[in-house]
Amino acid sequence: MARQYEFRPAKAAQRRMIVDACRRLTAISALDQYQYVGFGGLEFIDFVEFHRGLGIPLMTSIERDTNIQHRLEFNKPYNSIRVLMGEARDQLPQVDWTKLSITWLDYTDVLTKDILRDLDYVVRSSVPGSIVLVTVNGAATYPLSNRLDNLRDKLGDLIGDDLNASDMNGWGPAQVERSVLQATAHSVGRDAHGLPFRQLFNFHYADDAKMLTWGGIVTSANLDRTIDACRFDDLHFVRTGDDAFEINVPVLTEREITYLETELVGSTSGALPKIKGVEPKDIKAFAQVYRWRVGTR
Amino acid sequence: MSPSKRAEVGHHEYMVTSTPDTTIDAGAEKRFFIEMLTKDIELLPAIVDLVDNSVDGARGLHPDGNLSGQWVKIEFGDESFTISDNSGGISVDIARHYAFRFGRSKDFTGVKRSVGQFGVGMKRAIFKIGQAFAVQSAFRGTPGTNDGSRFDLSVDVEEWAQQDEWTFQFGSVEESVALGPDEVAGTVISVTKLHPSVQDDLGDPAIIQALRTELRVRHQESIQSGLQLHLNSEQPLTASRPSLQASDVVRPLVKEFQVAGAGGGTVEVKLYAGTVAPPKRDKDADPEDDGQAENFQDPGDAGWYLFCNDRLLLVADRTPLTGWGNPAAAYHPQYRAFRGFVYLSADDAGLLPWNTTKTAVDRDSPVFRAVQSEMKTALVAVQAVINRAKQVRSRLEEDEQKPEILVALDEAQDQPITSLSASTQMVAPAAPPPKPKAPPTPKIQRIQYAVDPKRFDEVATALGATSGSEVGRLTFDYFYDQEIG
Repeated sequence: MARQYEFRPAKAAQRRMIVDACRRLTAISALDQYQYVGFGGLEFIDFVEFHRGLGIPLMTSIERDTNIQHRLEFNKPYNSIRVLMGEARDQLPQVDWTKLSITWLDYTDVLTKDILRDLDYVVRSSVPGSIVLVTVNGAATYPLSNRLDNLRDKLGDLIGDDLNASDMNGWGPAQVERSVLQATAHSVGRDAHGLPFRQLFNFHYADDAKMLTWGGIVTSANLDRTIDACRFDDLHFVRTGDDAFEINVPVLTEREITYLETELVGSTSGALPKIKGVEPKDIKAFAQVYRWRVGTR
Repeated sequence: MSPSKRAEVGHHEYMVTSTPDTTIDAGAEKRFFIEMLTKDIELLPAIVDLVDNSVDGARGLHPDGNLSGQWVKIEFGDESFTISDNSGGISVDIARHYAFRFGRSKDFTGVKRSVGQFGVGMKRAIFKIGQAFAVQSAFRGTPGTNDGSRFDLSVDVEEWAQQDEWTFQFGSVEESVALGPDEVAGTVISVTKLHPSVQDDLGDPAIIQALRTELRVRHQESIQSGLQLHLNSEQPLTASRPSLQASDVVRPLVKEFQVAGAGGGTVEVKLYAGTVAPPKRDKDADPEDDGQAENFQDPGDAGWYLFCNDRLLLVADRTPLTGWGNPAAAYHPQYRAFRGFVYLSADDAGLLPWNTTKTAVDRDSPVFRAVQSEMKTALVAVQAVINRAKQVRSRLEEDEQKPEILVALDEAQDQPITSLSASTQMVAPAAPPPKPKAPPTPKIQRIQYAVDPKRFDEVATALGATSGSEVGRLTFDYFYDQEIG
């Protein structure tokens, strides 16, 4: 049976991109000194990726559905994973925040003030050099005309006055959510660590619903230069501002994939390879994600 | 006397000129000055300022911190307010050059770890309370020498406001004297011609209660070190000793850290956050039962207490300033067991995050923001323990044995915070997960139909059934098995 994440190719590629970026944290500390904190669900896919990619042994998964506790204990891929049952808000304080951490608050809901409070707590508690990520739904409620009201409902005065309904098309709500997340982390970073939180990630992807993954690194005056030395900017998917990196994994056959990879790597002209009948935009999208896509080759 | 005198208020400084070509009415100037000085201070902080001065003096006499034998007495009635102490007195020299100056000159060294930083407290407090005052002081000086002094002065503020001079006159002055061995070296400040609103306030039991609470908490360390602080009573106040629940399995959050002050120097911070034991009297009641009015308890003492050099700036704070509402949950009666105590201390009082009146937190201070951030995460952590216990309690069934987390939080006694050891988190037993929910009862569809009794009997006989419902069920099952199942 195919593993479930293969049905979510964009999410899977995103996970690997983030792990790839985290490898650059070696400038700050040995990677196995980091801990991973996430919402593992039954599959713990991100836990496996972070362990394989970074060698992190110490991991904590928070799960609110207390009915699946026994299955979680059975399904967890490593004995070192500590499963905390309950709402993130009540469980996060049990994490040992004196350690460097990579924390991924991977929600499926639209951004709310409760989520912002969790973010506030995590950024405040994390030691500088820690990574914090939040995934939320891109707020795509229908009809379109309700989207702005819906966002204002959830976030109140955090939503700027200058927005109007036409800003709510497509990825508009996700853009608003990103700015609210970053604004919160910015202020909390200043309060708690003396410098604003540095955004690194602003992913848009849509395996089904439109989703936003935003994140970055907690910095401090002592660490800021070291973070520069991590050279996150060298990664083409790193985004420090409001323009997003959209992950789009085109549907291609194995044969097409093999051909495209062969041609892409080592191309001297810089021109993208072509396949008759395959849209150039799909080939371009493929070129952006092939190294991180999950597949047989 | 120089033709111009200076008055300093906070960081500002202005000149009052009395050269012959000006026509400023100095009386009006002084009244305006007094009004400005007193308009932003309330009575309680004014009294507390006077007590702080006395306590500072007592502490200055005993660098070892042992204050036994020291006393401060506050007495008041309809006509007068008096505070007296044996805190060493004010020397004539200090009185002449510093104590009654408006604003403290830079070369005054002050008392280490004191609150008296801006030099306006005493005069402002006096002006706030009444229209006339008298100060008497005896200063011992170095024992065995004759550098002691005594003075008294009395001022009618209304008359003083009429004068051009910004000076007070000593009634009597004695310098280079030796105080007798039994003579009290100390100060008595009496204020008379009380403002009518002050008379009202001092006659209000609620205000006296607030003052008592404030003094007990604010000066608890000094009281515990032996200071006798009397508030209109022969009996000195007892210290209100901050305590938190602690046991083998419950440990409050206890952190000590330093924050760098602006321009060098550090502020030492001690932060304690946790819960207090549930009140004994409702031990049998459900302590989490918050929804019902008859169980309503005053939030009372719940919240944050913040001290700067042992001066209390925040009392039972439950506002967003200390994290309530963001990032922690807003106050709700379920959190009434929460207590947080934060102590900031610095040798240089100017590093501490308070306003010029030392009555409130300077919320824009970087030092405060750093401390505030720690308070916020501590509050979230303690709330999380309270929430977990509440969830466990809410699903506890009758006759079920109390889970460890509830036993721990119901039974752990309050311990003075000075006895607690460091813990970066609040520690409490884990909450047992809820039992998996029973599978939902299957939905059912009822059918009812009427048939000919004869045919019913035939079918019943064929099925071997004895009741209508049995016939109905068996015929339905028969059809289902044959045609669908």
